[in-house]
Amino acid sequence: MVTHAKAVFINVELMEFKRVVITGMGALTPLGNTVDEYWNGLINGVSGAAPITQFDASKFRTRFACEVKNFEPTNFLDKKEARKIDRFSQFALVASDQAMADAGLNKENINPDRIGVVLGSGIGGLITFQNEVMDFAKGDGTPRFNPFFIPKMILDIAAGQVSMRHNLRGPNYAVTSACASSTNAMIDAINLLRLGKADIIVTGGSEAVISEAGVGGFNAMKAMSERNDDPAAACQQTL
Amino acid sequence: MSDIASRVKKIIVDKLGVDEAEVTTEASFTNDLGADSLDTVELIMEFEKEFNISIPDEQAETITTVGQAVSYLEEHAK
Repeated sequence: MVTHAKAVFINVELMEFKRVVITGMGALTPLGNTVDEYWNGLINGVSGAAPITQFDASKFRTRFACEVKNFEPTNFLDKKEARKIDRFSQFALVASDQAMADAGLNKENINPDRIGVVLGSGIGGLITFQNEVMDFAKGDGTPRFNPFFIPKMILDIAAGQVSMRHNLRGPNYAVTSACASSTNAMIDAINLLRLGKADIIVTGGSEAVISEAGVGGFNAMKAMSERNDDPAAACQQTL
Repeated sequence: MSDIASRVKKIIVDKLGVDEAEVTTEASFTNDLGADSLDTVELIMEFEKEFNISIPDEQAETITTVGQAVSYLEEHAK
């Protein structure tokens, strides 16, 4: 077995890797819902932090967050689909639509068997998980979980949804490594392309955990700023 | 239309995102209304919740059209 491993290693070393380039980008962020808005926000030092609107945070130690703003899922998905897709996957769908359009990819000029999707997320569908478990806890112990509970919250479903939307049949999976998840996903995508496992990979990541469980959980670790009187300065060091 | 039939119809329109006009007595959840296997499980759960009953799996499997749902619920709803 050791000899075998050595042989594989030498083989990879001698291989000529394919070049990899970025051909399109998309962004849905607390600073704006396009790449341009995001970039302009970044270079102008705009803060995405603001009081939490997604749930009543009045009892929480941190009452502000960097929410994606002005996002209405039914502008992109029909009502039935939107209901079955967690917010973190909705973000992935919208951003990947933008990236694919930016790259000029469409049904006519792609081979779906050669296009993969590798997306990162730190937690996955936490809001779905929280709501389903809370519903269960309110009952008498009889399990009445929604059949879409698992396929809505499982972490690799964002990649799955993007694949189903565009019929992409190349490598498809999720990468998770906390705050580095999206970066690790992109590194995986580069390596898959270098090795010729696909011609194109839609990659990046998404997260939507601004909920009671998300904020409460991170607060319990003392991992978030509590500067509620000045959210825009939340990341500045206090002396 | 009976009260039960209109409540059933409302659930189907809401959960499957279809037009009310499509929800005819003969309409099949999967063949006519675009439901997949998980949608049908969810529909049965919604019927159970709305009518406060429990539909056993073997009975649930026989409910595949709007009409079948209405007649089952007219018979069993409390």
